[in-house]
Amino acid sequence: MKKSSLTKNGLILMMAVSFILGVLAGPLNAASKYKDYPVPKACLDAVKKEGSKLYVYNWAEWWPQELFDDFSKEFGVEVIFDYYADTEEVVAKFKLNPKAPYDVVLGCSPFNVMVLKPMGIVSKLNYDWLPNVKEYMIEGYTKRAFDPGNHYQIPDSGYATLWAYNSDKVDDSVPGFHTWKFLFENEKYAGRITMLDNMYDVTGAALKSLGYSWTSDNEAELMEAKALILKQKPRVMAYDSWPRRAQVEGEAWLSGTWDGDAWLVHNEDVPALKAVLPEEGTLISANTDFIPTGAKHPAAAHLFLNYLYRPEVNALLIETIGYPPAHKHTMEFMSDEMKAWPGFILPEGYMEKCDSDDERMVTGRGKEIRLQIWEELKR
Amino acid sequence: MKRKKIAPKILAGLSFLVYFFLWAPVIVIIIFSFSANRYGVSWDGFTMKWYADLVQNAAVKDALIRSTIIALVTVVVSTLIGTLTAYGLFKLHFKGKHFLRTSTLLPIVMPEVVTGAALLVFFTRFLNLPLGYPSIIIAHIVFSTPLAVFVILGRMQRIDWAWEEAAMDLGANRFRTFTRVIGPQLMPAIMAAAVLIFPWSFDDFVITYFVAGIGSTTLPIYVYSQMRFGATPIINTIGTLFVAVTIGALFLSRAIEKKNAGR
Amino acid sequence: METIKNATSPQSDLVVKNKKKFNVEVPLYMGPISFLLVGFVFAPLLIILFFSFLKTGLYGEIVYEFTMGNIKEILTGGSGIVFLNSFYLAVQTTILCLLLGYPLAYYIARYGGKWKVLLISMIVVPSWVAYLIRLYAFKTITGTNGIINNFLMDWGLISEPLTMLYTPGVVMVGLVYTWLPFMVLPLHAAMEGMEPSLLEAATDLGAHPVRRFFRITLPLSRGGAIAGSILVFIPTMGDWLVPALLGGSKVMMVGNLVAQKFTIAGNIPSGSSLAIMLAATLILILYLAIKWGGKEAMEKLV
Repeated sequence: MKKSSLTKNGLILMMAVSFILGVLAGPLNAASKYKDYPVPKACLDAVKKEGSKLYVYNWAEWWPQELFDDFSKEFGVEVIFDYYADTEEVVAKFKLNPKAPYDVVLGCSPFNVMVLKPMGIVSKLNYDWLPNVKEYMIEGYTKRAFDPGNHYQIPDSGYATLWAYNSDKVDDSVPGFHTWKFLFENEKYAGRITMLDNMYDVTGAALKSLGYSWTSDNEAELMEAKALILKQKPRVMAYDSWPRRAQVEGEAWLSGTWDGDAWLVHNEDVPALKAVLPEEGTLISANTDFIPTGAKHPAAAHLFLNYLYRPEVNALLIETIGYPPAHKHTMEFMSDEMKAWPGFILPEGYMEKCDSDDERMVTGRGKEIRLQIWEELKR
Repeated sequence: MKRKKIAPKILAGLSFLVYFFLWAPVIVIIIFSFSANRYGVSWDGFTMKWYADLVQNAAVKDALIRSTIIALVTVVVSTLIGTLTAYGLFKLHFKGKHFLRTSTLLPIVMPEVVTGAALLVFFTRFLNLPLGYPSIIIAHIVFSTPLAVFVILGRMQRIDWAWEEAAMDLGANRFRTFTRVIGPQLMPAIMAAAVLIFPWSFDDFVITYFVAGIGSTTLPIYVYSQMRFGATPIINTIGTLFVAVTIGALFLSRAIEKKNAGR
Repeated sequence: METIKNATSPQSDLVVKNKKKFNVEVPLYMGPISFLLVGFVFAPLLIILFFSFLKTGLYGEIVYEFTMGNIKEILTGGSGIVFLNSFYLAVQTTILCLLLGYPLAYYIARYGGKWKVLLISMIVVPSWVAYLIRLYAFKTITGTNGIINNFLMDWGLISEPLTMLYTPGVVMVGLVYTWLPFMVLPLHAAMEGMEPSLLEAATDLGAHPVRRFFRITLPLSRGGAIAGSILVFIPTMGDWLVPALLGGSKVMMVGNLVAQKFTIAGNIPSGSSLAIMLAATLILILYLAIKWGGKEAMEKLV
């Protein structure tokens, strides 16, 4: 511990964090060597004026609670939560109630923002109040076509859809194993497969397996994907977006999942769980945070987003959720094993095979056909 | 004559199997709440750790308080409206009574998904009511009041109405008579309705899921979100708590009923 | 609805007619419930009826233009099959509940004696213990490494674990489990009302027990059976969590579809029309059941 470089508050925070995280304290401690750029006083004043509250809309039980607790303690802002179980729920909620008074929505996907922005639900960010974000965002994340410069949302981490398998039960030496094709077409592990309970991910993976784009809205391509998905169904044990229990219980041997979720199960429960970054490519996207226009405490939301990009806070977040960071320095503090996990640092040239966020998947025909496929699948 | 003896035994055996079926999951919940297994899905030795976790878990505590408040308000309001309605349906004659009585059944027979969805659209697109406590409580009252109406209506037939006439002959108006004379006699029925409504409201997931908003995560919604992430043994401890509270409430209502009967 | 009202029993007829009628009393006693019904039952249903004729835009946002498209899509598209599936599953569940619940209710009513209250409570208590948590326990019981499989393997009865979880069978068991109490309670209420002297009289007259059952017990408990069937059938039809949690989300019921339209698909007009159709179907079924079952079913409904 480099105690000399720490402020008193920082020391207390560090002790609390190290108490909770035990061995993980090392990297988090090291993260504080990078500077925190605090928000300007105008923002803090505005937070007070708004009443020092923050209404957060997030996935349940995903983010570390101490991150919010520490934020509350440091800034005297009361944090109030609401949870969703699928990001599409967020979209539905705002469609019904465009002025829903959430201050910050966490962990969405860019697809949600694409749909909500044209409806006037996403408010523009004020970068004067986000100095940490300005300083520390990985450059690649600022150049995405749907929101160049990240004016309407910021990613808190990246994600890749992939699949995971239990290496004690599954033979990974067969040729063509590391593909979507294997997940969809193998018959050997029938009844031991779980797929994500999400129409975009299942159709996307099927499209990739056939050599098409994840976000395709071409009817013929989607029909081919549908045939593949329907053919696979009898071999699928369950459609489950959180197959953790089935993986732990040894029921699911092959599971469609996301890189971070798979990492957590590998790291905490099933060391034999390994992940496959499919050779055909996949969807590379980001866990996205935004401030809705109905927010009653936008300054507190900015304060929170800036806090999220404070180096040690970001390191704590990434350690807990297990997704690849969008913060320039956070990767430095992660363990070598985590860095080597599929999806964290992509192999040379892999990105070219992948697709990124594209509106055509979630609007018009692209969405309609996917819904029809999904209804037919679940019949 | 022999057949007469066998039939009850077969019935008893069948009934026992049904009871076993109904209680097996509950027993599993209770036993595994003491299991050291970190997913609460098998027996890995005895521990009280999950109960210690439960006590310290602020999210559970908040959810528990919220669910209790919602259920209490629902019970009070719906039994109040239910008593008035039952009395009116029983005593008064007016146009449209049959229609009203039948309509009262509607919330009971409507699937919860439909009620939840309809109220969600209604609250957000028509009333512009922010989702949260008010929307959840209104939704629960909508469902619970008919239950109260019919439970209380059922018991009204057994009341000694001579008292009412006596009181009214002595010059008390009907409302006064109702609150002073009939009300106390209805207490057991009101308690029965309360005992029925409280756990329903406390445990409701589907309707609440639709109309819940910021800062109104109830216990069932919390449990649901936990389950999606593969669940923790805390779920079993919450389940055991439910069993304890339910049995406690039942004993309490029995005790009250006995005390009332004794008077 | 107009026709159902004929089936309800006007209990007030039993009561001493009170000639003094103050009109002011009607709003006093009936005002709150009328407000509740009009404001929070009829109005929301009307609103979703209205929404079910609206269009959606490119992003799924609501567009205030009239269309019959949503209704047409449900009638001609895949939703019809989902409807039929759910109907079939709900009928099966109801029949199973009746088969399991009837002997139990009969046993309690006839032989329960001083244990009656306890026996009834033992049916009610599990149904009050967090629905979701009980379903979760079902997973623990029926999983590949679950209690049943472990038990059978330990005793050497099977060598390979049975696949139970995520099958249609376990969905059915879960549905029966969840709604069985709603069958037993009205059945019991109906049977309890039977005069024991009636049965004794029949026995004295030399009626065979089986004959006695079919001639007296069964007809008298018909109302309870119909009420119980309604109370099981309707929520089963709208169930949403059992297929998701125990069925591995492989099959949708109407309830899932409604929920999905409102959440995942975010298509509120389409979800509204499906909800309205579901409600209308169930009210029709309820109407038929009551017409067939008569007023005793209505009385036993609660």
